[in-house]
Order: sequence, then structure tokens, then C-alpha cells
Amino acid sequence: MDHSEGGRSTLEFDLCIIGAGPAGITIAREFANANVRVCLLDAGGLTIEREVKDLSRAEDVGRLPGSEDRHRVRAFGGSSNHWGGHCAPLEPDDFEKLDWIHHSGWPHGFDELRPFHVRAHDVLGLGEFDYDPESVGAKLGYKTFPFDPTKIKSTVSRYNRVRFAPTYGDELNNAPNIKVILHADVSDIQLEEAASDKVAHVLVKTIAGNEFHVAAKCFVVSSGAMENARILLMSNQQRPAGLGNHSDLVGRFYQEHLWHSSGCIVPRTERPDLKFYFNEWPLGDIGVRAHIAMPANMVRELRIPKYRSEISAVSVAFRTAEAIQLGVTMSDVVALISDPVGLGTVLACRSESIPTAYLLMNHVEQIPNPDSRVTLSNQKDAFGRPQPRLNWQLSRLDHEGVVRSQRAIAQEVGRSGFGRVRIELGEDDDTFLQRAFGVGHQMGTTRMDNDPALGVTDGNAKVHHTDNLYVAGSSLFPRCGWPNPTLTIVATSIRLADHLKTQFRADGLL
Amino acid sequence: MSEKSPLMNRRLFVGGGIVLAVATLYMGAVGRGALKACGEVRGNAELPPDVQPLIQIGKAHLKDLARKGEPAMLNDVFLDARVLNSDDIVGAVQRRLLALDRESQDEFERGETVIVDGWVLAKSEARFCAALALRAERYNPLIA
Repeated sequence: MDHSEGGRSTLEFDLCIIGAGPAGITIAREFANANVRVCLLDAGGLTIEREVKDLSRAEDVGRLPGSEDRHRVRAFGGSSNHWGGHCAPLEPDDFEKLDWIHHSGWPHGFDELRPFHVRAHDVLGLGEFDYDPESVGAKLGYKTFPFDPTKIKSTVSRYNRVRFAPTYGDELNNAPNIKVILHADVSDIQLEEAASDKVAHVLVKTIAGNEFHVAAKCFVVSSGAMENARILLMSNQQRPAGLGNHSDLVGRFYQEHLWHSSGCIVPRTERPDLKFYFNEWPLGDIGVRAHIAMPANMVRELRIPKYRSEISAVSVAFRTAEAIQLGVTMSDVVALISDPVGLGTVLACRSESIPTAYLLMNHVEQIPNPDSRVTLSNQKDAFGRPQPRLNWQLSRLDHEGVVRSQRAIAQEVGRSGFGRVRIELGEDDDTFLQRAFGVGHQMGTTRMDNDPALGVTDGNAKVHHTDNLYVAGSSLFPRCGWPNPTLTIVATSIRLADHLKTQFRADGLL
Repeated sequence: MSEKSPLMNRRLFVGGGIVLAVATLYMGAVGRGALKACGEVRGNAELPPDVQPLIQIGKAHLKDLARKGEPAMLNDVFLDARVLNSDDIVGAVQRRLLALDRESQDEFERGETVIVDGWVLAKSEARFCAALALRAERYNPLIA
């Protein structure tokens, strides 16, 4: 691997990829040993360095200031250096255009992405493409919740913490057609001329003080949702609004997965066979865990965002102690539902008890919000470039959706005779809006839509009104559903690589 | 997804509970001395200590009803309270809880639920608990 290149020369390639996280590395690997000269640039080095980190610092004026910046990793391998390995594919209804969610809908459907999800599975070493909770649970001997699947469904996630740098670094280094350049920070994307739609080269700066150009036939920006928006916006010498920003959409719809506890389920009887939900369990070389979620029919009926609830088993005694200030405690409800007809017999020294309750931690899709956005700050970094300015905002719709879904869970838990639910979110309070935090899944800032008025990128991830500039990563996602994004990031990156291969074939390169 | 086991368990449990309840009623009528040996029964007019959690729920529900000013529901509570105004309070509680078991699931089916301190309960559950709370406080203006 080369380090900082000196001088102000121009390096010539066929494909220039800006950002070496899961998206960038996946695309580069798709071209390994092919007849296409690939340059993979990353602003960081092999480890996280303070000086490099300072170059990506954001001015954070939105909710929970500072909370989002800490998730960004500027080093070879990107966010795969600190992720939890949680994978699940998006669901068919995540791609739909919904009348109650403005700016929903992907430019292609679930079926289009499905084969790429399968290929991404191999990249992430996730084993068999099996997301059926009954089937996976059966392999472990665990059951699923006894709910009506049209009311509450179970889902399964697979876990494998692939670190892209150590896993794929040698492969890239050994590929004769791929050049990886570290500490190479792209500061500008320059068109052939102002009136042209064709990108000619990018300007790269290094912390050693060098500058050089990389010219290529195609360019892919794959630096994360915040940095992708920043790079397009600060490439404004020829187009004052920035590249792809003809409709003032670059940086808008900044989304996160929202993480917040919503309450607990108290079961009527102890259910040790439900362990599948309480932990990540080993299955071969990977981990698996079940969650609960709302099925598509309920999502439509209740008009709610997608989410999954992760369940932790805790002792009732602990929750009762914790809930002393709450009035009605878990033990009170246990007494109501666990053994009411035994009330008389309890006078003869009842000893039955339910030692566990199930806490609900929700991983919620943020509803796309145009006011939640990344712009350019007046504050500058060490290179004199504008810092990204993040104004992350939630809307009342996010809160209402979560409350409605918790009520639906409570209804089904009671109806099925399983137990009772305590909802720790009030209809009118702002607890969720104030406290829900992001989990580092930064998405949505270069949304895809085939209509240039509604998207930064088209259905092939090409930036509108450019000929050869593409975006990769979760910044493309118009909606994110409940699944963690990495599997879909890798899937959409493979799809983009396939599209680029078609382009290169047409040019006689492949 | 297995749907049967908890419901089946519940049915078996309820069935077993009826037997237990009958046995307990018998003990309540005939074998009171044995219960007293456990040190838990203090007389017919007293609520057993094990209903304290239900009273706690009931108090919270009454507070909500008063705050929201729902006279119709308060009236329902008073009617329940009258049912519970029995000398054989243990038996009355048992009979009501037996009936509640099925009733509450039907109410969940119909969406007839209330939220008491965050807990989503069937309306009849909450009302019953409120009645117990009233009974515990010996506050029952409908009973002469």
C-alpha cells in the first residue's frame, strides 16, 4: 500500500473510489485483478489518529450535540473498525412509497436488491442466507413468542464482526490493478469545465502538506453519510450549490436508527424456552438472535415507522426496586396476572413467583425529515475547508409512531394471554424525542430517486446532472427500515460495481 | 410460531385454579383454623394482604379516573365495589378473578384497555382493582 504521494501531479486511473470503508472496499474488491485501474483513497491511515480525526470534526447544532460525531471512524476500514456485526436484509415494504411518509420509496424494489443481499452475505461471512426465526431457532432448540404473526412477528439477525481492513487489506494490496492511497483527503471534485457534467479529477490533500489530483473515468464517493454530503457540497467552485445539489437536497434527510427503551413485558408464566431473544447465540462461526417487530400489515394499519424491539430478561425484583417511584410496580402486575385464582391458596403460603420480565429496547427507523440535514459550517478545518454542520432533528411523527406500536404490542401480549406490558412513553411527553439516541447508522443525505427534483442520485447511485460521479453507502437510502445498514451497504455497493462493470464493458475496458 | 403452549398452560392452570379455589372456599368455610395457622387470615371483613398489589393498581386507576373526570367509569367501579362488599371477601375476590381471566382476554381482543401508570390493562382488571382499593379504604358511598 502506498502512503502519501508527493507533488501536485495527476494520477490516472479508470475508477477512483473516495473512502475505504465497507462500501469502498467492497467496490474495489469487485474489480480486483480485472483490467480496470482502481484507485482507493482514504483520508485516514491504518489506525485512528487524532490529527486525521480533527479533519472530519463536525459543528453539531442539532439534537444531542456531539453524539453523532463520535461514531465516525477515519481510518482504513471505516466504520467496520468498530461495528457490532449486526446484519439483516431490508424487508419488502421498506422499499414502498407510503402516503403517510413523504419522501419514502426506493427507486427499485426488494426483488432487485435481493441477489445482491445474497452476495453481500458472502462478503460478510454470514453463512446460510436464512432469516426465518422458526428455522434458525429450531437449530438452537429455542422457541419464538406465541403471538399472532399478523400482530407481532419475530425476526432474526445474524452477527459477524468483519473488520474490513485486516480481512481484505492484503487482497487489495496484492491486486496489481488496485492502488490504495492512505492519508489522502479529497477536498474538491472538479468537472472538466463548469458547463460539463463530466468529472475530470479530484483534488487530494494530505496532512503532510502535499496536494495531487486523481483523474479517472468514473468516481465513487463512499465516505459515510456526513462526509459524502460534505464532499459534494464543498465541490462548489464550478457549481456554486455543490454537485448534485440542484434541488437543494444534498445533506437533507439525515437519518439515524433511534435507540430507546419503551417499557417491558411481564409474562404470566416463566418462559425459559424464549432464550433466543435475550442474547446473541453462537451458530457455527456466527451469532444469531431473535427480536420482535411489527409485520407489514400492522405497519400500514398503524402508520408507523419500522422498528425492532430487542429484548433483555431482567429480574422482577430488580425492576421493582428500580420502579419504586413509578407507583404501580412490576410485582403488582405479576400479582394480578400470574396466579389470581390462587389468591385463596396464597393464604396458605404461596411460593410461586415470576423471576423475569422482558425489557423492550427499540431500534426505530427515523422517518425521513428534510429539516434534519448536513450543511457546510463557517468553521474551517486544518486544510481551510468548511466543516460539516449537522442539524439532526426528529419529528413528532417519530414519537407518535413509537407510542402507537407499543400500544399494539401491549394489546397482543394481553390478547394472547402471554402477560402484560408497561409502556414507559407517554402519549404527550417528549421523552422519546429528547432521549432517543443514534447508534451510528448515519444515512439518507444523498437519497436515491430517479426524479432529479426528488433525489441527489438516481436508481444506479449516479449523482444527477453528472455523467460519471456515483455515491455508495447508506447516504443513498431513502428509507432505512429496522435492519442495521451494513448488509445493505455492501449489497448496494456490489450492485453499483456491477453497473460500473457494464459501463466499462461498453467502453471496451472489460 | 408456537401459539398453543401458553394458552393451553393457562387453561390447565385455570382448571387447576378452579379446583384450588373450591378447595380454598371449603377451607374458608370449614377449615378456617388451618388458614389461621399460617397467620395470614385476620377475619372475613379484612382484605387479605396478598391483594395489596391489586390495591396499589386500583389506587392508581382511581387517581386517573378522578383526574380525567370519567363519572361513568367511576360508577362501574362502585358497582364492582358493591359486589365485593361481602363478608366473605376472600371468596368474592376469587370468584371475580376467575371471571376476569377470560373477560380480560376478550377485552384485549376488542381493544378495551386502559393505561394505569403505564401498564396496559383490560378495563375490567383495572376496574376490579379500583373496587378493591375502595373496599380497602372502606370508601363506598353506594352502599348504605
